[in-house]
Amino acid sequence: MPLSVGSRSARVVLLCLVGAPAVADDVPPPGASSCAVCHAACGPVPAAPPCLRNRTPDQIAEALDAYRTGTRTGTVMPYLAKGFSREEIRALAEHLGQAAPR
Amino acid sequence: MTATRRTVLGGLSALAAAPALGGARPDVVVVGGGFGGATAARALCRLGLGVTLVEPARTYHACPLSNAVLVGLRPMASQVFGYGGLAAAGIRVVHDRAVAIDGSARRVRLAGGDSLAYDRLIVSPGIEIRLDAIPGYDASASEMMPHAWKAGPQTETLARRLAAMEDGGLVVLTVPDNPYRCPPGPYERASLIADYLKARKPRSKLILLDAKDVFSKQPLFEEAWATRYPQHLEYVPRARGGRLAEVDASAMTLRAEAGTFRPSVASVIPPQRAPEICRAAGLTDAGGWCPVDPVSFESRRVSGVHVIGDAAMPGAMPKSAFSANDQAKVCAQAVADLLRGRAPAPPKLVNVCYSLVAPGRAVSIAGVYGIEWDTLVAIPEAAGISPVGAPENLRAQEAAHGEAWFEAVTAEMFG
Ligand SMILES: Cc1cc2nc3c(=O)[nH]c(=O)nc-3n(C[C@H](O)[C@H](O)[C@H](O)COP(=O)(O)OP(=O)(O)OC[C@H]3O[C@@H](n4cnc5c(N)ncnc54)[C@H](O)[C@@H]3O)c2cc1C
Repeated sequence: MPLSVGSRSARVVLLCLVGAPAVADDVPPPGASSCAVCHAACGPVPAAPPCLRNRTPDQIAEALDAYRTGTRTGTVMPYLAKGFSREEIRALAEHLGQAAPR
Repeated sequence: MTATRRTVLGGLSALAAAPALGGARPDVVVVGGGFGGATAARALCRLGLGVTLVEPARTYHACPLSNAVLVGLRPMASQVFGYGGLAAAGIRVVHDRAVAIDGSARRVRLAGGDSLAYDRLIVSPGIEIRLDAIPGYDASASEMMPHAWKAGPQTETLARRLAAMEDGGLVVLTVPDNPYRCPPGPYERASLIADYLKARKPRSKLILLDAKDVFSKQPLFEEAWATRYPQHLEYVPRARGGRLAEVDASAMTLRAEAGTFRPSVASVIPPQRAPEICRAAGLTDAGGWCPVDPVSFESRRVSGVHVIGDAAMPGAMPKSAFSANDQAKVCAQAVADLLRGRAPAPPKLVNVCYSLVAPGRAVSIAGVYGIEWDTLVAIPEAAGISPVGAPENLRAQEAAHGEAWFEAVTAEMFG
């Protein structure tokens, strides 16, 4: 049993790599994985939050800074933005605003 | 919220314990194909690791929005997902149950007799409903007074009972003390049932018996109850005798200090703990949950084994699907880092959770969590709930955001 298990999983490794060749060393900044669920789906869901890969990093950083300092209102974003420093916001904006790696 | 010396050292000692891989492609096994496990498997796969997912069920029944199924606002089918998308992505999906973990040999044993070797193991088995905590509430009582706290057959049973109840009937819903899966979930359920009674069975009423006095999104739920359901929902906190003491399922009675109730429909949400596999593997503490390092989610009890989702106790995060999904991605990155000989960076985690207070009307709670010393803490200025007294259009917008999140997260996992 364990032998066949081992050989089958080796084949699977290749499939996973084919699916995602280039991302292994691209460590996302803290918090990025949570933003992506709602903001990188970019599907045809009406009323979904904005699709960030269509925005420049500057636009995203500006919006997050405005939420953080309280000059922009919203639902959950005014809270979430206050959980990150300006440097962390910049890193998030660069990561989420660039064309998605997949 | 920066890395402390101790967390950095923790990461390094975990590194030192990593097995020599001798150039072979490392294999990660994931136990449980729910919000934590399915997300972790997808993330590990994207990171180029070999992934085997162990999950006994052929289909997954998602809990978020399942309270809407109870009152006919959503079909059950919209909660059901298959594992074909994971297999197509290159994940090896094994439909079996993990029954034992040998941390020193790095093997998981399956109920079917196979065993799987792993370089690192991620465990996300959700919760076990305690059938030994409330006198009288055993397995057969749980069929009479369904918890419906794991979406599936009990969700449909409870929906049928509510639909079949005659106007004028009493519904009793009971809530456990902390910690438990989805802190605001019982109050969402109470709100939606009260709305249903008000619209469809106006002579009926819901009594909500609580083992606590303070709960998640409390001002928002209390506002909704006072304005929307003053005749249809009665809340009994612990201070007024709300803690459930005993049930008699054959007589359909529930006893609390506040009185003995004989409802037409009852839903009892009992206390919970990490599932049997966690106890069997020595992953749990005296409270019944799995303590973990909050940077890597590696167990504090068994090295090489990571625990995420409801079963884990990483600190202040609530047990939610949003948390499980985020923990899964942080854990997958940490596992990849450790297998490649790098120390994982201290993460920041996010939880956002929407609750319906009426059909198409929702409120939210949001929080960011960082590492402080050796635990996850909520960053105080980054935690809050929707405004009290907000207009209907804001509640409608948050309901739409909640649904959009559900669509996005389930597509990410199962699509
Ligand atoms: C009514 C209700 C409403 C909710 N609403 C929300 C919401 O709106 N938003 C939100 O964020 N959260 C919500 N939640 C909470 C959310 O459902 C859970 O927090 C989430 O499912 C936890 O994910 P998990 O991976 O820990 O466990 P699960 O999603 O329960 O997955 C565990 C999986 O592990 C499998 N498993 C168990 N034991 C083994 C074993 N030994 N071997 C192999 N596999 C095993 C199970 O079959 C299951 O598929 C709600 C919960 C309820 C009950």
